[in-house]
Amino acid sequence: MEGTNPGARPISAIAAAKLRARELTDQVSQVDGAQNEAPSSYSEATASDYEEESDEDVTEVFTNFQLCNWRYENTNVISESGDELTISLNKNKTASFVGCYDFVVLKGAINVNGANIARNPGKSETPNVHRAYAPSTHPIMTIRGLDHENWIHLLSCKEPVPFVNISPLFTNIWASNSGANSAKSFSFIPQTTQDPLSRPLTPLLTPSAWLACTEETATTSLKVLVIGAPITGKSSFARRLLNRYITGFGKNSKPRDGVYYLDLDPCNSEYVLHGQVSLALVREVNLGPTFTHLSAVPSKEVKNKLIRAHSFPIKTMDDYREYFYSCASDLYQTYLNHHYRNSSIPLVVNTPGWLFSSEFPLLQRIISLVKPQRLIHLDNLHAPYDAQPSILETLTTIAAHQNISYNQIPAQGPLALSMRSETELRSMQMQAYFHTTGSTKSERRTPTYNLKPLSHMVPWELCYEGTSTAYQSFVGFMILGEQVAPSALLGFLNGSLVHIVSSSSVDIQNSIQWTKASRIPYFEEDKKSGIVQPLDPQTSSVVCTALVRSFDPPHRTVQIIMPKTHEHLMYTLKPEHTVFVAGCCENPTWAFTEDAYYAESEGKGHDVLPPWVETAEKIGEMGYLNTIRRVRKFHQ
Amino acid sequence: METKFRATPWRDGKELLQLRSDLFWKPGSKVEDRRAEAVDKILAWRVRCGEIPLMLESTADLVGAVVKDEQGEGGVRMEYAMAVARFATGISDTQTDLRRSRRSWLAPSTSLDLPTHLLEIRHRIVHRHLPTLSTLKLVAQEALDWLWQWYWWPLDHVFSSNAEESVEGHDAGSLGAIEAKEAAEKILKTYIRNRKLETKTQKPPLNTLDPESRAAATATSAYLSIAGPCARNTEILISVLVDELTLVPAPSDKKTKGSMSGAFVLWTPLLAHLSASLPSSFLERIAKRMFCVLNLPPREMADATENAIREAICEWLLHITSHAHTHLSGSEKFMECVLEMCFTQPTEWTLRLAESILEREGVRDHGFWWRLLEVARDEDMQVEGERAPGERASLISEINNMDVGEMEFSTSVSKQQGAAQRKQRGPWKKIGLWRSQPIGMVADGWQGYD
Repeated sequence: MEGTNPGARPISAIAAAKLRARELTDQVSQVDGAQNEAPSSYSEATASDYEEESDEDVTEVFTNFQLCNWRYENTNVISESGDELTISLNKNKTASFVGCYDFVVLKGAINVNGANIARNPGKSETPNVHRAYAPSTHPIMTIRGLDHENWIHLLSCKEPVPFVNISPLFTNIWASNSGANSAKSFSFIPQTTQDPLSRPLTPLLTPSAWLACTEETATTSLKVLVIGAPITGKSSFARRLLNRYITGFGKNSKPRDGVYYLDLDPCNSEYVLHGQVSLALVREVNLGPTFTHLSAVPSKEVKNKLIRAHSFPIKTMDDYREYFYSCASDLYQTYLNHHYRNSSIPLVVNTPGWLFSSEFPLLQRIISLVKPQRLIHLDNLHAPYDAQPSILETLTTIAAHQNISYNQIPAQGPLALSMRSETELRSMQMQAYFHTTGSTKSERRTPTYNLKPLSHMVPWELCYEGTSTAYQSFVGFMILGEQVAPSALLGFLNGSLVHIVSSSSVDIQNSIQWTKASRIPYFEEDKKSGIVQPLDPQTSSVVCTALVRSFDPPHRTVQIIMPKTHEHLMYTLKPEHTVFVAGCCENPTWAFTEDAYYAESEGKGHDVLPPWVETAEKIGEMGYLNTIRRVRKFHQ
Repeated sequence: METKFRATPWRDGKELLQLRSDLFWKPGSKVEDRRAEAVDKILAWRVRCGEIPLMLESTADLVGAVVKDEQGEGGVRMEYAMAVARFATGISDTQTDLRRSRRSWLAPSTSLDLPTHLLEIRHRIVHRHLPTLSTLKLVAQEALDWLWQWYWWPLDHVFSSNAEESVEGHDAGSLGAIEAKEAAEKILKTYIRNRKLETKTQKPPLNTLDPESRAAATATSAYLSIAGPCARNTEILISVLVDELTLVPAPSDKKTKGSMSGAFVLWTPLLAHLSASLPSSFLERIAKRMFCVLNLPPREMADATENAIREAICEWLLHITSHAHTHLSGSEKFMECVLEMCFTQPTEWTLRLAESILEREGVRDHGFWWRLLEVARDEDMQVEGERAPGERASLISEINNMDVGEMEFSTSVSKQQGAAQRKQRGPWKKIGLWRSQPIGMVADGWQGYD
C-alpha cells in the first residue's frame, strides 16, 4: 500500500470531509446521482500499515452508494435467459454488474473504464467479446451508453481465482449467487444496501475533468507521465487512459497497437507482482483488478508482454533513491529501443504517491528523464497533501522549460473503506500468480488454476554451494532493504518470496559471504553505505518470482516453488548469472495458512499447524501480548 | 471473510519459548549463551514481518544493549538510552490497547502501567541531560523485569498445552539434552553386555525372532523410568542408535554377507520392546532416521566404509519391515510408509531397498509399487541418456493417472544421486514421489541459529 512508505500518511477525517465538499461543488461524478452520499468518515485505519493486527479496530462504515442509474425493467431488458442478459442502455445511462462476465455490443457503442467499444462494423467479422471482472474488492465499473440507443449482450463466464478453500481472501467477492439469478456469474446491484451479501460496494467514479483530459491526451499526446500524492487515483486514471488508447474511437484517435506501460510503483504494480518496477507492452483492454490479469505469464497466447522488470523493495525507499532512478532510467532506455521500431505506440508512465509527497527532487529528475509530452497531476487542492505553492510553481516552470503540457486534474480517491486492504490485495495477486496453470484453449480464454495448497506442488531444487554430487546453481541471496544477521538468515529466507534475477555483470561474485553452518551464500552490505549494493539495472532484470519453501543444509540445496506457467524459465538460468533477490516482497502469510484452510475445507482437523500459523482463537487468547507499536503521525 | 488462522513471526510456540530461555540466559547456566543470536532472530522477524509485538521488539533492543555492553563495545550509553526510550514510549503510546485486551491470567489489582520513574527516565533521555550509564543499566534491567512479568512469563499460559515438552528441559528435576544422551548411552551399553551374556546361555539355534529377552525388558524399563515417553528424549535415543551407528556392526566384524544376523540377534529384542512401550511412531522414526543416514551426501562419510554402512542400514530396514507383521509392533501401514520413503527420496540405495521389500510375498498393492519402481529405475536410465524434458510427457501422464492419493509424482531432467553418476548442474525439479509438506520445512536441527 502506499501507506507503507515514509511519505504516505493516512487520510484524516477532515481531509475526507474536504474531499467530499469538493466533490459536491464540482458536480464531477459521471454516475448521475451517485454522489448523493459521500463518505461520512474515513477510519484512520484506511491506510494503516498493519491491517492484519488492526482488523478489529476498524469499525466498518457502511454508506449507501448508488452504483448505476440503469433500471432493471422490461423496457430495458431485451432478452434474458439462465446465464445471459441483453440490456438496452440509453445515452449517458450507466449500468453496472458485480461479478464477471463476457459482453458483446450488439448496437451502438459504450464506454467501460475508459475503453470505447462499438458494435462490430463489418458483418463478416466474429463479434468482439470482451471479458470484464468486477469483484466487490474494487469500485464497481460501469457501462455507459455513448449512442442514442445501445444494446449490450452479457454472458456468464467462469469465476476466476476460485481459491475459497485455501484462502478467506477470495470469499464472497463475486456475484451474489442467491435467489433467481443464480445461474449468472454477474448480478445487478443498483445500490450498496441491496447487496444480499452486505458488502461495502462502491461505484467507480470518474470526474468529468478526467474524461476531458483522457480525450485530449489520447488524441494529442504519445508520451504521458502521471503524478500525484498517495490515494489520488493515479493508477485508475492511467488505466482509463490506457484503455482509451487501445480502443480508440471516433475520427480523431485511431486504436493503437498497444501501449508501453512504464510502472514505477513497486507497491501497486499493475502488470507485475509487487516489489518490482517494470515496462510492459499492453495490448489488451484492462477491465479487471490485478489478480485477474497476470499478463506477465510468458506465453504466445497472451497478448500483453512484459518487456523488462527490476526488483525494488517496497518498504525502504530511503536507501535506494539512486537505484530507483537507475531502474527508471534503464526502463526508459529500453522503451526508447523498442519505440524506435514502432513509433506509433504511446507510452504511459505511472508513478508512486510517495515520489510526489516525500521525494519531490527525485520526481523532478524522473520528469526530466522521461520528458513527457503531457504531465498529468492528480491534485487534491484541499487535502492535507496539498501541493504546496512552491511545488506547483516548480512543476509549472519545469513544464514551461521543457515544453510539456501540464494538466492539473482533481483527485478521486476511494469513497469508502475497501473490502480488502492493499496488503490483502497484494496477497491475492501473489496467490493468483502462484496457482495459475495457464488458460483454456477455447475462444473465450479462461485462466486455469491449481486449487490445492502450494505445499502440494512439486518444488524445484537448486544447489547453493557446490558438493560432490552437484554444481552450485546460482550465485547467492541478495537482501534489499534492512539486513538480517547471518545467524538468522536461514530462518529469514525460508518461506520468503524471491525475485530470480539474471545479471550479465561479471563481478557480482565479489561481495559474497557464507553463513556459518548452513553455508548459504549471501551478498554482504557495503561498509560505507550500510546497504547491499543492488545489481546494476543495465545488466540485470527479473526473470520471475518464486517462493522459497525449504532448505536442506546437509545437501546444500534450497527448494523453491514456481507457478507452472513460468517453469520453463528455469531452464534458461545460468548459475553464474543468477541471483535470488529477497526483501522486496511482503511476507507471504497467505501461503503459510493455505494448508490449514484446506484441511478444514476437507473436513479434517488441524492437530498440527504448519509453521508460522496459529489459530485466530489462540491469537485472541494472547490478547495484549500481541499489541504492536502504535504509529504516531509525523508532525513537522 | 472469516479469518480462522493467522500468521505469526515464530514458527510455533516451542520456538518462542526457546527464544525466551535464550534471551534470559544467566551467567553460570549450563547451557550456551545464545543471547546475541536470539536478538538477531527477533530483528530478522521484524524485517520479515514488518511489525512484531511491541514487547518482543523491546526485549530484543534491551537485551541487545546488554550483550553489546558485556562484549565491551563502546557507545553503549546511547544504545541503552535508545532501547529504554523506545520501550517506554512504545508502551505508554499503546496503553489503551493494552488495557482493553488484558487477559484473565493477570491478577485483578495489577495494572499494565509503567512505573513512573521509568517514564521520568525516558523524559530525561529525550529532553534533558542524558542519564549516567549506571542509571541506564539499572533501568534497562528493570525494563527487562517488567517485560518478563507482562510478556514472557504469561506465555506459559498461552502455550501451556504444548509447552510442557519444551520447557521441561529448563526445569530443575528433568533431563537436559546432554543428560538424556548420556543416560541413553549408558543403558545401551549395559544392554549389550547383558544381551551378549543372554545369547551365550541361550540354546542354539539362536532365535532372532525371540522377543523374550530379559535384557531387553530391563533396558526398556530402565530407559522409561529415566526418560519417559517424552518425544525429544526418544529422538535422542534414536539418534544414538542410528546416527552413531550403534546398530551397525563395525566393518571388520562384517566379514561375510550373512553377518548382519549378529546385529539382528543383539538388537531385535530391544527394538521390539521399545516399540511396544513407546508411542506407536517409534519404528517410523527409526526408519526416518535411517533414511537420513542413507541419503547423506557421500563426502560426509569416508569412502571405504560408506557403502558398508549404507548396506547395513538397508539390511536393517529390510529386517524391520519383514518383521513388522510378526512382533515388532508395526503393520502393513509401516511397510507402506517405508516404501513411500524409498520413492520420495529415490537413490540407488533406496530403490534397491524397495526392490528387496517388493520381492517378498504379501505386499499390499504390490503391482502399484512395482510399477513405481520400474518407472523410477527407468528414469534413472533416461537421465543417463540426457533426454529432453518433453520426451517424458507420456511417462508423466502415465504416472499422474495412477491413483496416488495426495502424492504427486514428478520426473525431471535431474540426475540421480549415486556413485557412478555425473554431478548435477542447474536447477532440477524434485524427483520421486512428492507428498505435500508444509512450506517452511527445514531439516531437523536447523531451526535454531546458524
